[in-house]
Amino acid sequence: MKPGYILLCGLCLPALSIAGTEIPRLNEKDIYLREAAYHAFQNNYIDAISRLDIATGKLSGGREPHYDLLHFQVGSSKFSTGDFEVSYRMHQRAKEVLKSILEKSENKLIRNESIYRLARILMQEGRAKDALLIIEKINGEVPENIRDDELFLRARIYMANDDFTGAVRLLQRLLDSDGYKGFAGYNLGVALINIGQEKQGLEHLDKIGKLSGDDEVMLSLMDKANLAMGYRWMDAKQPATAKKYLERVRLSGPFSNKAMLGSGWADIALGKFESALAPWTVLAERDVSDISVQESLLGVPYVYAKLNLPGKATLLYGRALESFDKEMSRLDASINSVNEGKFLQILSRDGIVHDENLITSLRALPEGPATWFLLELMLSDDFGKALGNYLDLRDLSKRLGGLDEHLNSSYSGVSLSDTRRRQGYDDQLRQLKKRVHDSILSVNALLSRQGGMLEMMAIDELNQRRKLLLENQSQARIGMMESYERAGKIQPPSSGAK
Amino acid sequence: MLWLLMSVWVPLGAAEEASHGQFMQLDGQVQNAKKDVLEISSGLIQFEESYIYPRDTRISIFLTMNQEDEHSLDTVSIKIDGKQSASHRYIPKELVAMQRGGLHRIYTGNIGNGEHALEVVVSTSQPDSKVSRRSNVIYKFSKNPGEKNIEINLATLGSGNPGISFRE
Repeated sequence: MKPGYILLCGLCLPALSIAGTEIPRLNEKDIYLREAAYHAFQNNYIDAISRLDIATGKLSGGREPHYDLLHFQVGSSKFSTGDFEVSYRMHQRAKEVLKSILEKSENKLIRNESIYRLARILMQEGRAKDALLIIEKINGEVPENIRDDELFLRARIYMANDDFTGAVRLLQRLLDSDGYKGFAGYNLGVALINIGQEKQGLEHLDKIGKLSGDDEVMLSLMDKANLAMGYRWMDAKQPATAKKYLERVRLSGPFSNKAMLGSGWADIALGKFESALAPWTVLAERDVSDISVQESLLGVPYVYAKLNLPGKATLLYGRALESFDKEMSRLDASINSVNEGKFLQILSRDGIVHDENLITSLRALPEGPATWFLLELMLSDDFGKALGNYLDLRDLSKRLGGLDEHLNSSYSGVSLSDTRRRQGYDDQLRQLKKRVHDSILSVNALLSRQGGMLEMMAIDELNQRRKLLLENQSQARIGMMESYERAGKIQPPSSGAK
Repeated sequence: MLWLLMSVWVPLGAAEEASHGQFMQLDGQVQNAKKDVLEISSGLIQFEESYIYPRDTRISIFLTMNQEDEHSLDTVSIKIDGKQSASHRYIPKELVAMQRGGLHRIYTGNIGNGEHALEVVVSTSQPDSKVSRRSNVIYKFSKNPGEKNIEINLATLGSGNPGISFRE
């Protein structure tokens, strides 16, 4: 954009013009698109979408906007219709706007891309059957920049609908794709195994299991592949082979606990009890809230019992019981904390915002009874979405409060001489006020229900952990008693006789 | 084939299905609530454009920035014909949004047809510095029947001599 006028700062000088420069004029559509982008870049989606509706839709008499624009560019950012809605978890509306483009457009590439985006949203909603019906409507090619994306999505849809043969054909085409190499290989391995081609499937998974590099996503995929193969070979009663794969899993990654647990069990299956101590003693030092860690706390004394060291086993069962008792207290304190409303209080803080930094802000919360299990809960798709909805409702409630105040205070000085205009003004203002009032009631009711659901999900999770912990406490007590008895039986006689 | 369940969809148990069903129902209602607020927001824009800032007298002033700059924009104030019209203190995410090409609507109001003067006062500072610089410029424009949109572009903010340009 070339400057039409350059002005000197600090001085009140008349404007100077630079001769010969052509300045593109502002147009209304461009203004609203760039305003929409300004708000979207800050995750203010209500403001973004309402501007976009004005820019690209045709609003009249409260009807739904009809979009005829699939893409638009602002600066170096390219947006697609429906993106804002998906980012704001308004999947219903995203589908409606994409359908309106589908109805209006005769351009095959645009139609096919709209269908692809619709199918993607349906898969995000967990509606695999509907996604299959819609993606089969693609007729001809899709735009080149989404070709691989469409193939991969189609393969995922086929797998979700148990068409593994179809998925295999598509995934084979993606093996050389820069964007999908690892994922295509992993899913191809799974698909081949599902159609009975186990050897070929395992070969693909093995390739993924040997990936290297710095990309955390690829490295996590590699760990997942090795873990899956490790447990597969355990199932097939081939512990030596299982151990080979389990030992490839990174010690610092998200799958390391499960891998170390499996590695220890592989050693037990091979009769190498002492070798099992290596992964399990490391695992036993980790956070006891993890199920694998709890199992290792029982596993280590079990090994010592097998090694005919019941005294050591007794001691270690005792330590396991102490850890479990502490964990039980922590769980009970957390359940109380949730029941007292502290969980929601923390989530309602201003610092917790529903944007790309949500996990970071949750991690930064001070550790306490109401927070330590939050990140575990976030692993659940439903909880993550429910929390997102809760935070959005909280923001909507504040926004509506502000709107209510604005409508009641900002327009009192408006004077309109024309009677009909005055009537129209009064009617519309009254309608807006009523809508805001009704919306406040509805949003606050939903906020309460969504908060209740979050608390229920938290309690469910904590109760499930509690149930498992009770079983582990029981096993620790039994193991401790049995080892204690054995230790007593093999105690050397006292040398008191003279 | 427990191990394969790590990679494909895991069917939910009965209790989980019920819970998931409740979640989906509530999720649908939340989406409807958002839709309502969206319609209210669009309705308010249309209401204001029809009655508060009708097209013939409407003037809107927008701000954008070209690039990242070691100097930070603090506030922008505007006066139209000597009368204070708007002032905004910018937070970092707003600056980033403008640098990425977004447009901030700093002011919408009403003025009559004829010649007018727009005075823009820009306050900037350097990182880790409490020293703030102020620059002001005046832009003269004509208002004819129909709405008037003016974009203020801040090209660079440094050295006490920001490159401020205007576009209509």
